[in-house]
Amino acid sequence: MNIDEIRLLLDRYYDGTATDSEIDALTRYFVGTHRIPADMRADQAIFRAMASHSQPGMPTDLQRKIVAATYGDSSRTLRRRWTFALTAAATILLVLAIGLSYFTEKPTPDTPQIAVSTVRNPGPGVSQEISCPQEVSHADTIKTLPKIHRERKEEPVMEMNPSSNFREVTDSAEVVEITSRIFAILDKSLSKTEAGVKQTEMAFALLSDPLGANETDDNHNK
Amino acid sequence: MNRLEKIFKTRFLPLHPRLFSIAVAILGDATGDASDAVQETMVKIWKSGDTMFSVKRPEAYAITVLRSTAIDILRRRHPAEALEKADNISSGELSDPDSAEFMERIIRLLPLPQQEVVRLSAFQGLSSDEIAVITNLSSGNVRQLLSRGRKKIRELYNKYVQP
Repeated sequence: MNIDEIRLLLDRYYDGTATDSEIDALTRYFVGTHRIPADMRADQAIFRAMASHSQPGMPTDLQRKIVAATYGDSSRTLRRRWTFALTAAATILLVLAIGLSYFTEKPTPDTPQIAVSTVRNPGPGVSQEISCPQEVSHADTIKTLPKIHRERKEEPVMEMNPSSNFREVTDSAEVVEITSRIFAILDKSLSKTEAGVKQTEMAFALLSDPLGANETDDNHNK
Repeated sequence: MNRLEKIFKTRFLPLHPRLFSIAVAILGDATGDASDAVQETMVKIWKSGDTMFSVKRPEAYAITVLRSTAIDILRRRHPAEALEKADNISSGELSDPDSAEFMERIIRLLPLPQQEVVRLSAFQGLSSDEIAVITNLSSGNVRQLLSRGRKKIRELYNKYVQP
């Protein structure tokens, strides 16, 4: 290929009309030829630069980054949401179970009775036929909580049928209310148990040491 | 594996090596921008959600998203490089004008549309028709951009190679 042909191909190259094979011919010429006209030195540098270009290797961790930024991230988010939802559901179920088990147990004379409010306007899915020992509004129940405790001894103990006293508790505020009452009852029961243990110890002391028991009884009465 | 994840993994994720080559052609390989552009492209496709089901030509769709992403990166990069005018290239960088790195610096002085087609032609060896498909331009427009870009490069080379 003589120099005139090269100049012709260069014109086509700079016009953007050179074919792939023509560009290949120019590249071969400029890479393989050392002595070229001075006015073509820039062209030679350009074609040598293009020929020396090597495709960079793709980063090995690119796919991992893509996965982490797309469905990998989505899966982690989904797992976190499921974990949170399951934890919340388990907590609610536990509270409900404690609350319901208390209200379905048959009360003993020593067990404090708590009036359970009846939801006057229950939400969808809650039966209107639910019966309760005492019909008070939810708001009233919350406001009169201390009063209920004070008047407990004056109220007749009602025979509670577990099946008739069971009802579904759907209001979260009521669940919290019920739970707090349960804790109060447990606390009171614990205090009574401690007192009972002390009385039992005193009874044992009386049986084992009748003489000393008089002194102890006197001291106790004092 | 849900439906979106499945279609993404089967139709789009395998395209990332091809997208990387195109990203390098558009952005150059001097920085990690090509890798970032591919990752950003994949995230955009993933976030398009159900659109992935209606795409008939995943590669063409992915390349369109990639070009848009790469051009955004070029635009963000360009203001800083505007300071780097031809006159500011130091004499130390003239030591090896035959290198691809030197040519890359020269290409970065071109207008963005010219940069893209010149890189695809010079470094990827793509024909005008292939570049037209990727850039969504007509072959005539591609030839015109190539012509202007190549002539400008030659002008700049003449300035440095033959002062």
